[in-house]
Amino acid sequence: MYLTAHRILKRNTPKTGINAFLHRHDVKALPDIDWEDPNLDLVVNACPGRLVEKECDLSPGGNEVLSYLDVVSDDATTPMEIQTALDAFQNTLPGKSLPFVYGIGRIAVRFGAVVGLSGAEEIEYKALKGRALKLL
Amino acid sequence: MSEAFEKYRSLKQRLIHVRWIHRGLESDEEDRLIEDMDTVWWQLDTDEQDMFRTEPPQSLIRSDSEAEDQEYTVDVDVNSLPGSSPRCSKKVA
Repeated sequence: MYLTAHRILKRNTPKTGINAFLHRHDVKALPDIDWEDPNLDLVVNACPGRLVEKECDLSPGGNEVLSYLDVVSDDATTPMEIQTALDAFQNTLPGKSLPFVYGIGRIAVRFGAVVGLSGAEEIEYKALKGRALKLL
Repeated sequence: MSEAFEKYRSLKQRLIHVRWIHRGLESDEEDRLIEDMDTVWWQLDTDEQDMFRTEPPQSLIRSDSEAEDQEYTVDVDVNSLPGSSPRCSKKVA
């Protein structure tokens, strides 16, 4: 499973919004992915999976990404487990430089943002977390 | 610290966030926050005001004068490109 939310800016306009996507990998095993300790980069960049849910404020494609939250885990992970992991991630976030990557059991989480957010990371993280969790 | 102190800090963080979202351009939300901050400022005692005055600067300065990023990330239309990563990097031409 790959769950992501990102804040985007339509370039050369003041329009911003958050788009969120949920991907599943189904029962077919992907040999390079160890779901007990998933490689976040591998899933995000090479094997994002099959798109099953989305919620978009702006039409995707060509927008500048200002921040992102990635969650990678086995398809069988429950929404409650994801929520618990994201809450734990939030508690460890203060003072961390971005992008911040954290593994919580078999759930890998990453949060990143373009420069300028210093002091307001948690506000942005909560916004992305809320939108991502709505898809589960 | 007083309730006003916590409120001012919260408003300041929201101001950073709003300016970050709008990439330094002015917005109605920013105007409202600044008005609220001005109101709360006068509810702080002098020690609390001094604490904010002496804090190191954060990201409240506009970024107009900063050089454009040489590389940025864009989103991908995953609807028309199934199986693709939702983001990719681009170089400024």
